[in-house]
Amino acid sequence: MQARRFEREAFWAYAFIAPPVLGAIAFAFLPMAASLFLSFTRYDVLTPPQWIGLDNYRRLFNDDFFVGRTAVNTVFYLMGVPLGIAAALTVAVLLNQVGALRGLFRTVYFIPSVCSIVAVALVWKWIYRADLGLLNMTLTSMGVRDPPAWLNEPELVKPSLIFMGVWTSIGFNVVVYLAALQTVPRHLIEAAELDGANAWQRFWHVVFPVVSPTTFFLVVTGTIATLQNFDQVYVMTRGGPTYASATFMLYIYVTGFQYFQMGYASAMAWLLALGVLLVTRSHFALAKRWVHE
Amino acid sequence: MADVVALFEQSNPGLRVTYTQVPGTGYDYLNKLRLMIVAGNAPDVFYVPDGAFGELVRTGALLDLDERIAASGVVDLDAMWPSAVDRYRWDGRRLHQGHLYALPKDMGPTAMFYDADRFRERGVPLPDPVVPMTWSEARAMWAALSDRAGPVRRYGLTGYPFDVAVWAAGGEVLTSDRRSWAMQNPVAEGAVQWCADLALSDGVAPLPSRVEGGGGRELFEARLAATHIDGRWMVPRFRKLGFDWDVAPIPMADRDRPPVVWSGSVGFAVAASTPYPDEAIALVAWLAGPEGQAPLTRTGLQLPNQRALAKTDLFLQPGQRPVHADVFVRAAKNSRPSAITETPNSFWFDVLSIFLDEVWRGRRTAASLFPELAPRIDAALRENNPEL
Amino acid sequence: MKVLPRSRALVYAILIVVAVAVLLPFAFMLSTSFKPPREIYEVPFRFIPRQPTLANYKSALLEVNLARGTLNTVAIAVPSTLGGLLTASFAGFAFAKLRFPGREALFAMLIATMMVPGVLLLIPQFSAFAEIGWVDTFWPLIVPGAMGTAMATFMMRQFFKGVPDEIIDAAALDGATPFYLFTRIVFPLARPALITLAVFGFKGAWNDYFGPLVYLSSPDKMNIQQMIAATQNAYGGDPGILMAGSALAMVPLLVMFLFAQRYFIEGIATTGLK
Repeated sequence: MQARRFEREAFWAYAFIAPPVLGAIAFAFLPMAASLFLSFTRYDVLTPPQWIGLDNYRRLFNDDFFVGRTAVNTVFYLMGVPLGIAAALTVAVLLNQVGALRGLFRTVYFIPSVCSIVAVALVWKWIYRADLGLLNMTLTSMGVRDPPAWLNEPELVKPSLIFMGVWTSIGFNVVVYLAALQTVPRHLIEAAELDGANAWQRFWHVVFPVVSPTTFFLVVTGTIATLQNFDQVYVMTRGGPTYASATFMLYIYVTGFQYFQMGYASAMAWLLALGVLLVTRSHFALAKRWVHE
Repeated sequence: MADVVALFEQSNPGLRVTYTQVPGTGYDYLNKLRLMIVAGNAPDVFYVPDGAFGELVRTGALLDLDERIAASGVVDLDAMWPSAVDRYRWDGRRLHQGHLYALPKDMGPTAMFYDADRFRERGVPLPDPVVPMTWSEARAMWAALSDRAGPVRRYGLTGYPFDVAVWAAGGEVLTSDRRSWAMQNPVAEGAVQWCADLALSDGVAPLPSRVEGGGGRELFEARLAATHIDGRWMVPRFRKLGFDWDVAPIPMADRDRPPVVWSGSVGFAVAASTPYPDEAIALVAWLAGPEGQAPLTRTGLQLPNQRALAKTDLFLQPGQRPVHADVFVRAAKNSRPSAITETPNSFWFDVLSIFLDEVWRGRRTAASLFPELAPRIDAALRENNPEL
Repeated sequence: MKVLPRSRALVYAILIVVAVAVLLPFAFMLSTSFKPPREIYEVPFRFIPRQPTLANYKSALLEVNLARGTLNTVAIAVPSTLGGLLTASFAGFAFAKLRFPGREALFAMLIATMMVPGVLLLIPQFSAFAEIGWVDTFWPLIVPGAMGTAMATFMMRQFFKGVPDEIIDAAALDGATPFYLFTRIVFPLARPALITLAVFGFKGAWNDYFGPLVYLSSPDKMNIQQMIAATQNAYGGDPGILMAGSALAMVPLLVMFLFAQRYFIEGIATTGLK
């Protein structure tokens, strides 16, 4: 193995990786450096930035109550990650037991993953509407008086969006899990059956450990996507009511693009980036305890 | 709009105009416009909603129209509604005074739309088209139009704008120097609480959580609310509704004070960076003048900025709803722009709206919330508007 | 594994309930899109319109220029996807099978870009593209993808890791260059992974809303998503037209998905997302 060497292997390798690496520099690292600089300035985009030192960071940690509110919201949305994964794993395990219609079910479940957030949001807004929404019309016809305004109550808007998120992502997660479930060795399950393990025991001691790398993958990507969630909230509620559904990312966008405080928005974006990095690192650290490679 | 621009090209053979429409809602338009300005490819002429005028003019993105308009001699500012023109003025420090940086495309006064069929079903007399009702008269009317017992809840109105309530009661949103919030007093607190109680204690208006993005408009369209306060721009949309409706003046606190309502407007501005300032101004002047206003008014969307045109059938459009279109003409005389047009940066208004929600939901009273809110709003006001 | 008939029925019941929950919003969308205005607000809700109409679709087609939108989308998606396939698979192969100084560090650097919040980059990127005159052209939407995104490179690396080392070793012994080895032997093996990437790339381009919103302003350059958003104009959207527009925008992707779902699914499996 060690003996293998191409002539000028490194030269070829650098040539092969050049486009994405140069792309990363041009479209990620240089803009990042620019935004790091901007985070120490007051910058309204149309007039040149003014150096103000640590003022933006001071404001961020001291007297901006929206930072706290949107950060708490963002953490709340993280509940959707285990929920979505548990739902997908349950469905995948059930689906794995049926033969004939498996493909059909899988196709149906995947449909929401194919649709654009714009179209999906339009439909869900009409489902959740207080008076004329499908959900409340159904509840009313079942005799519920005054069903709640799902997207307009500060306490309900986040769970409603989480549910919609689970709906949107379940198909993709099910497909990933189904692929992983194919790798569960049949003989292990049969051995467990012979030992008298019931269905739950077989799942918990055999299936779950085998698919744990997949679970880990979904947890990490799901967490990062949730911490950076913007599209869904932007098209569904624009953060309302009273910032109850606003994510930290949305607040960054509003600050930067609605109020043109690009310097302050850059400082916030850096805080978020650090948060994402920390959470991901801790996921990897914890993974040693439960992920079976 | 594209047709109107084509008309301009016909009467100005040397000039070619490319009209671009930005998809999406108001937010998307402004975001797009800001990005185009930043990128240095702003259109030569663009719409500026009055609420966004201060923010844009402060950055120097808009061309000062004063001298060129005077020089061109074609624009007669006196023929327009003064409140429509003045909201596009800026003196480098304060808004509503100084040089002119945009011409009004329209005047958007508000009125009370009402479902006349619903009034007849309920045996409620139709409101007077000339004299505004008082709050107490209106409250009784709304109660008579509401239906809280049936399987579907019906409301008397969709909601009363709180700033109009504050003005009507004799209060103000900002102090006259615009450096402080002026609602921490019994007058404004009472007015805000009155608006909240329409939903909370009377039940004649929906709770804010029941009102979707359309500001209650959908409730009116679905005949779930008998009256709805909105602007002239709703008329073409409401003309498609399958029931009889009309407009009346917005009810006022009492008959002691002159009526006051809110009006919106959109202006035509010229980019400071345009390579064709003269041509751009020719277009703006034409669109804001009688020739451009006539076809724009015919759409039914707007009250023309030209006062004389508003009194003609071109605006009143007899034979079409609303029957009492003149309500808008009187409202225009009594109207003033929103408080957000008074400061370049209006983040303070967002803070206010967010906290007012606690009053609308009955979690706080205006009297208990406002003292605590005042320093917060003042801070947002001053921090983002250093020139004041 | 044997499953008792009763519990089998339960499994099917649960799967059917989930399927109905997934499809219900689409049924609602289709039903509303065929309703005349007066039926839309009717209580209680009826899934089958009493007087079905195509009027909403006609109105939506005035706003949603399906042909133009598709053409624009393809003009963005094809170069960015094809370019990305090529660059990402070259790079993925190098990261998986070639040895060179700084390999792990460079790969980590690339992966790190996936964690950067997009807004952090938007303003500097936009200013830069404006500087070189790319605003209101397709280039800002094509070039970053065509250079090979971190995600695509990562997926290709995962795929090439599964290629047996014996093939590589044999080529090295024969004195082939990495370029020859890659283009003649390894690249053709990657077909399923490439199709997956292509399908996902096309899906991404079709559904992209914020990119075109930021970079494009001419109406004749809009993509489908912007056109549906246009049906929701400043004066409030008509729900029937909105739903018809959404349905129109979904159809091409749904058709593609139904034909290419093998690649969606096989691709996810073979690329070994773990």
